[in-house]
Amino acid sequence: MNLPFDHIRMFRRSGVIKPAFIREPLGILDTLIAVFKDHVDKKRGPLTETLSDCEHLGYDFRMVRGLASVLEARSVFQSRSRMSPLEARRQVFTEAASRIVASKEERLAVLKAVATRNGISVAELDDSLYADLDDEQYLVSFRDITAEELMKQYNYANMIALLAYSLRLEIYYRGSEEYLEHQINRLGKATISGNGRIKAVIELKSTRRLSQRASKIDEIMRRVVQKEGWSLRAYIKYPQRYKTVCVFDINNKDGGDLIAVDEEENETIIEIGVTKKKEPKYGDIVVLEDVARLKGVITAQIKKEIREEGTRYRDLGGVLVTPEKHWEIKDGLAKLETLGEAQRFLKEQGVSDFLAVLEAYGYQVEWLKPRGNSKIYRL
Amino acid sequence: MRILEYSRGRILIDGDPVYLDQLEPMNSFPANLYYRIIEHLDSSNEPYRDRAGVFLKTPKLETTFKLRDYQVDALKYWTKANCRGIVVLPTGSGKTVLAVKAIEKQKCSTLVVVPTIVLVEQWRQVLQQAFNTPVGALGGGQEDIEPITVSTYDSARLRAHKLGNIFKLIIFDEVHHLTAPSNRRIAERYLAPKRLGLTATLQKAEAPLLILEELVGPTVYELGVTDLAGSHLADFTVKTIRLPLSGAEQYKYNRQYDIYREYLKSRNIKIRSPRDYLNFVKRSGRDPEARRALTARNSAMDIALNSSSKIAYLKQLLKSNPSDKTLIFTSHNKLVYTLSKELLVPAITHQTPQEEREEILSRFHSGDYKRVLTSRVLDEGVDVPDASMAVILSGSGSNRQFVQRLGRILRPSPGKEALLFELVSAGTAEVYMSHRRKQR
Repeated sequence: MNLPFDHIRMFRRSGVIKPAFIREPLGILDTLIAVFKDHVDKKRGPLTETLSDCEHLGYDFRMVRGLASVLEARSVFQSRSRMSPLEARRQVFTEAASRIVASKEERLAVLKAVATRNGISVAELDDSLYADLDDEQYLVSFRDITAEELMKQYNYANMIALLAYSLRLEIYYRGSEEYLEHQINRLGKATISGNGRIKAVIELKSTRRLSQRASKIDEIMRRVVQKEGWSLRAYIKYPQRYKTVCVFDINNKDGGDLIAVDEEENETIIEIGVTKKKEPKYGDIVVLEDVARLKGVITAQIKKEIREEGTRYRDLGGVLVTPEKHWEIKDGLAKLETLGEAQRFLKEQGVSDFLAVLEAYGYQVEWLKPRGNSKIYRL
Repeated sequence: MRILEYSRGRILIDGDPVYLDQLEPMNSFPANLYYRIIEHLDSSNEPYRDRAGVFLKTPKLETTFKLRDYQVDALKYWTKANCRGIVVLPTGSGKTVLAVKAIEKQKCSTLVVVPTIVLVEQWRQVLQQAFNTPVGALGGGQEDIEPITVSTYDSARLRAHKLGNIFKLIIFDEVHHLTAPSNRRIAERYLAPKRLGLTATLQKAEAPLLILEELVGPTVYELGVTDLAGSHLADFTVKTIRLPLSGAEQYKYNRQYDIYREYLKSRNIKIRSPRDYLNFVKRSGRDPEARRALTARNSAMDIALNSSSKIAYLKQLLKSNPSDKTLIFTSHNKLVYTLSKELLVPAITHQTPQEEREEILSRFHSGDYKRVLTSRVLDEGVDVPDASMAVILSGSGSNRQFVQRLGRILRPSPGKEALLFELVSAGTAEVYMSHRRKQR
C-alpha cells in the first residue's frame, strides 16, 4: 500500500532524499491501534473524531494521519442497514412532510409509523436513514497488529508514496521471477539484465496518475523486499514542481530492516499462470460509479464488498478489472482504431459504460461524425 | 498576403508578423486575441486570408421567448460593446433567457460554458425548447458537438485545442469562475470573437475584474437585487438574529479562540485579507504551533456556527411558519445531516446521489416537501424551485454567497414577501462574517 500523497514525510539535503522513517515504536502507535480496536462495532464517525483528536498529541499530524490510513487498510467498514437508505429517507421525509418535527416525541411518532409499515424496529430504521454515508458505516472487523509491525508497514507505505515521484528506478535482487519482471516492464521503459543477480532499470515519465503508479511500484517492491540482497536507488523529483532530482538509496541491510509489507495483502496477489476461475460478484469489469448508482450506495461501499469477497481487481481509477480480463482488454483495444469498434468489443466483454473503460485504459477520442468513426488513440 | 491559422489554442500568422500592443511584432497569439488581430488587419487594409475561424453552420434560430425591459437594455448594451462583455443580474432575473435572445440575434455557432453537469442538462433543455433544434453537450460522459453546445468548464478546457475555432459566440455562465487560473485557459484558447459573461455577483476587486475584462469584456450592464425587488423579483426582508451561545459553548469558544489569538499575537501575524489567512494556513503545515492555533480557530468557529441556540431558534421558526416553503442553509455537511436526522427534513449535499437530489427538488417544487436542508451545494449552479423563506444557519463572509442564497427566494408571485433569516452567534467572530457578507 501507499500513503495518501499529502501525508508523505521526507528529508532532503544536498541532492539526497529520504522518507522520514519511524525508527522506534513510539507511544502513538499503540494509542492508534487501541483506538481502532476500541471502535470495532462502532460507527466510523466517532472513530474519525477520535483520530482527529489524536493529531493533537504532539506528533506531526501527517504521521498520525498516515498511520491511521495504514490501520484503516486493515479494517472492514460495513453498512448495517435493514432497509435501503434511499427508501428509508423517502418514506420518513414524506411521512414527516406534513408536520414540523421539533421534539423527540414528534420524531419518534414519525419513525414509528414508517418502521411499523416496513416491519422493522425504530432503531433499525433510524440506523438505516443515512447508512450510505461513510460516517454511518460500522467498523465490523480490524486485523490486529503490533506497534513494531505498524511502524514498518507505515515506513513502507511512506516510501512507496515517495517512490511514485521517481524518474528512474534501479533495482537489484537475486533470483529471477516472471511475474516480477512482467510488472517491471509494465511500469515504464525497463531494461532487465543479469542472471544470478538481476539488475532492473526503469525510466519513468512524470505523471499525474500518481495513485496508479504507486500501486504498480507497490506490486514490484512488495516482491523485491522479500528477495535476498535487494537494493534500490531511486531518482526522485518531489514535489513535482521542484526542478532538482534527488537520490534515494535503500537496501536489505541499510533501511530495509525498517520496512515491511502487509503479508496478508501479499497473499491475495494472483500469480501468472494460475488459472483458478472464480465468478466475481460484479463481473470481470466493474465501473464503480455505475454499480454504486444502481445499488444506491457510495462507491467506497462497493469497494469494501469487493475486498471482502476476495476477488482481485486492478484499480484503473474508478474502473476495476480482473487481471485476466485486463490483458485481454488491453491487447484487444490495441488492435482497434475507431470508437465504434471499441464499443462493440467492450460490449462483447459485458461493459455498458464503454467510455469510462476506454478512459481508464488511457485512451483518448478524436471525435468525428458519425460518432462510431471517431478515432481512438493512446498517448 | 498573411494567412491566419488556428493551432492548439493559438492564432498563427503565416506572413509578416502583426504588432498589437506587445513589445515587438509577433506571428503567434493566444486565440482570444483573434478579434483584435482581425480588427487590426481590417483597419490597416492589408490583405489576409482567415483560415483560423472554421465556425459551424447554425440552423435557423428563432424563439418565442420575450425579454423584459431590463433584459432588452442589457442586450442592447452588450451588442453595442461589439458583443463582448459581462451582464450582472440577480438570481432568478432571467439570465438564461437573455442568453437565448443573444444567440438568436447573433445567429452563430455558440458554446455555453457552465460550472456543473447539472447545469449542462438545464441549459440544454432550455436551448432545445427555445430553438427546437438539437443542442450538444460536453461533460459527464457526454461528447456531443452541435452548432449550439453546452459544456462544463472542465470539458471546455480539456477540449479547447480541438474545439477552439468552431464557435463564434461563447457564453460563460457564472463568469466569476473564469478568474481561476485553470479556467482562464478556456477563454484564452477559444477564438470566439463574441463573448458574453453572466453572473449574479461580481467581485469588485481590481485584479479579477481586469482579468475578466481582458478575456470576456467589460461589465456592460449591472442590476442588483434591490433594483428588481418589488417589480420583477419579490419584495424581501433580511432579518439578522443575534443569538447568545450557551454558557458552556461560550466558555469553550473563548478558550479555543484565545489559543488562536495568542498565537497570532506571539508571532506578530495580522490577518487583514484572505491572502494573509492563506499564508497562515500554509504555515500550519510546517509549524506545529500554527497548526494548533488553526485547529483551535476551527473548533471555535464550529461552536459559533453550529450553536445549540441556533438550532432551537430554527425549530421555533419552522413551527411558527409551517406553510412556508423554506430553504435552510449551513456551512457544514455534518450539521446538515445532524439536523436532517433530528428534524426529519430532506437534505442535499455534494454526497447526495444525483437521482435523489432531483427527486427532493422536484418534491420541493410540487410542495410535497416544505423544507430542504442544504450546505453550499445549492448556492449556485442548480435550478432550485422557488421558496418564500430561507434560513442561513451559517455561511461564509462572502457577499456572493449571501446574494446567491437570497436570490433563491426571490422568484415573484402575487403578494409575496420573501423572508431571509440570518442566525448569528453574538459575541463571536461570526458577527464580523455576517457584517462582511452584507457589504458590497
